[in-house]
Amino acid sequence: MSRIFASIISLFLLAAGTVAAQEASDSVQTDTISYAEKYGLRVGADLSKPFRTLIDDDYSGFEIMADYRLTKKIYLAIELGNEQCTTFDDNLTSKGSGNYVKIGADYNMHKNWVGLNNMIFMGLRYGFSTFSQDLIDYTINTQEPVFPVDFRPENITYNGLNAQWVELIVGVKTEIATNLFLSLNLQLKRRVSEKAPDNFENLYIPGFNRTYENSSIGAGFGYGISYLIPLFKK
Amino acid sequence: MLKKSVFILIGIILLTTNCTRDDICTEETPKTPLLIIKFYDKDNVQFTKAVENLAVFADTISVSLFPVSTTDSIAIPLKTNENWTDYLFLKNANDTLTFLGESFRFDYERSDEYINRACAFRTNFFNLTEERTTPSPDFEWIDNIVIRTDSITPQTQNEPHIRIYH
Repeated sequence: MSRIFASIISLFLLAAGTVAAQEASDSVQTDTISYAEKYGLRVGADLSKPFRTLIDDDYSGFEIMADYRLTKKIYLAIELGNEQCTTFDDNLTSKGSGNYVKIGADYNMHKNWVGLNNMIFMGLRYGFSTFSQDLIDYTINTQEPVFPVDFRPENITYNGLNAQWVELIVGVKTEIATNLFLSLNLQLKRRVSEKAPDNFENLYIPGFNRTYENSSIGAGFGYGISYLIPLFKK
Repeated sequence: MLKKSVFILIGIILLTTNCTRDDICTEETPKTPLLIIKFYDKDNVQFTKAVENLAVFADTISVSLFPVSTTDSIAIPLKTNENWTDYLFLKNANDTLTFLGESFRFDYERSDEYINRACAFRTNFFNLTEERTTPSPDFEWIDNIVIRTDSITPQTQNEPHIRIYH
């Protein structure tokens, strides 16, 4: 797992480095030739989730994403995904599975060299997930180990659960070939509402990731590839 | 500034999404509650009276739950996978245990309650009843047994559920 992180971070640094190098010699701008920038719809998919699906038996998921350039700096963004993740805790095993959608906008804080379309962005998302949760097994927690451990492989399914959250997202998008972009982003989430099962709680919410006790905060990252369909220039 | 905040965020995410479990079921978290029994003087019912050299046996377990001791109150577990638990209370237990004591069957209803991710579930018990199953009057040393509280939950762990007069 740490190896995945290391490789993702090095890719991220590579992307950030490319943007930064370009930023360094950015200071003098006397060019008066106007250059039209590309506007269009960028569609893509997350790479980390299918990769994790391949290497992690307890996870499967994918995410597709799109953004549309609204103004010079603002992009409307949407992500749609499906995830299934089994969580092993000390005394219980559970699985969350379902769909999610995140909609919002990104703000490009990066000033590009003429002709380049890279992004260092900050964005906001509203996330919504509908999912089910399986309580696969659990043990009854006793304070005196007098009787044999009471292990319950019950496999109870709770359907019709949902959660909503807001998400702060920062990331980079680098054009690695004409109209082809690699992106990495980090997400900090705050749950605003959820429908949890009776006598249990939501331990993994697709799109939101794992939950923490007495906290509505979540975190995540994305690493994706996307293709820009240019629609017009201005 | 931005890059700094990105690195801070990477740090947060590495800390929160790694594979090691950071949820530990703490000692203070109420788990499956215990049945609390207090022993009283049958001749002077206001006052507690310690049982001399008490040994307590659960079900078919032939080892006393606690070291043999003289005490006026005990907290004993109930089975979480059955609606009953048998107990044998042996007074004046010595090194050669005879199992010639008072036996009771405690019957109850159960309900599992979710605690949290780390602790999972506890079992609470309701509608507790007792039935004396002592095989011979010769083994009897208890005068009366009274259920004061028939729900055994984390909220009822401060007062005895059962009073035994002897």
